[in-house]
Amino acid sequence: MSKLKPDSVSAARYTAVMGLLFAVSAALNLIESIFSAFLPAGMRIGLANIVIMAAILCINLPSAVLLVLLKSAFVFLTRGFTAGLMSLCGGLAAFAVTSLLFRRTNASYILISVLGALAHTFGQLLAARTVLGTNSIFAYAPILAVSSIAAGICTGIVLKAVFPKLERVIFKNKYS
Amino acid sequence: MNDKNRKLLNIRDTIIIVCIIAVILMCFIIPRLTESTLGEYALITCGGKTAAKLDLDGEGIYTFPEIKGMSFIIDDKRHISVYESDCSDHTCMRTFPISSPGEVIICVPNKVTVEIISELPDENKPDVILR
Repeated sequence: MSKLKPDSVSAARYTAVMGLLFAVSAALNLIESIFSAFLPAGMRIGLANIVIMAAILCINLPSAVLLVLLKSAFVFLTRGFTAGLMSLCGGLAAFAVTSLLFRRTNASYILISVLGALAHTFGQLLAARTVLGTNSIFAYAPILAVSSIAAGICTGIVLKAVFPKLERVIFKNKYS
Repeated sequence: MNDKNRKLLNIRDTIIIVCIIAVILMCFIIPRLTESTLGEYALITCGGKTAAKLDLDGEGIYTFPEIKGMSFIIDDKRHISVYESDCSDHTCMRTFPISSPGEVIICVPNKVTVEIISELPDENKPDVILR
């Protein structure tokens, strides 16, 4: 399928699309923080991963990495260094898994989303382990893994519903 | 692979997801649920170093000079939890009280862990400051 690339559209259009996706990512991150206040053990829904997966599908891999970095910078500015580091590690792990599965396999949206959410969780756990210097953090792994699967199913359904519409928006009037 | 033809979920992927859930349940959660041993004390570490060992029979609120901005509470049911924390998201304060061996409470911003240990500490008197 065709992808939106910086060299195939005007720089202004590319910047606008990336800015839009980053804004959605930041907004979803804040909404997620509100939900997470009612969840134990640092559980997060992973809503912002939808944007990263949409970028992998609709734009290209470097742009998706850029969005991961921007999202982590946003978390760093709003919630501090530790949260920023965990967001970065989780985001890069999720990006690696989802981009590989989207490009190399015909796996379904929900499976890719579930495995991406699991990768995100374990990336965050590894970052937390580095900060804490103890393996105790892995005691959270089972409950976080179960919540990741539930979150992955939800984000997979949302991505499947949103992807065609998002692609139409991004490529609308591309050749006009 | 054309992403427009990609399915939301198919039978093969459903089986994979069910297998992942089954592995998680079998390896981690079921053994934890069937474990009935009661924890004896809570090991509190800060930055990887032991800050205190708290006897779970000692009901009360505890603070430690090594851990600034945090306090811990042990209730009458021998559960320990974080009473106060100055971290940004208060995830540690939302974590359920713990009492069984292997259970932990973690505050990543403050680099603090609370872990329940089943063996008795070498010294019977906990090294704590009671507030």
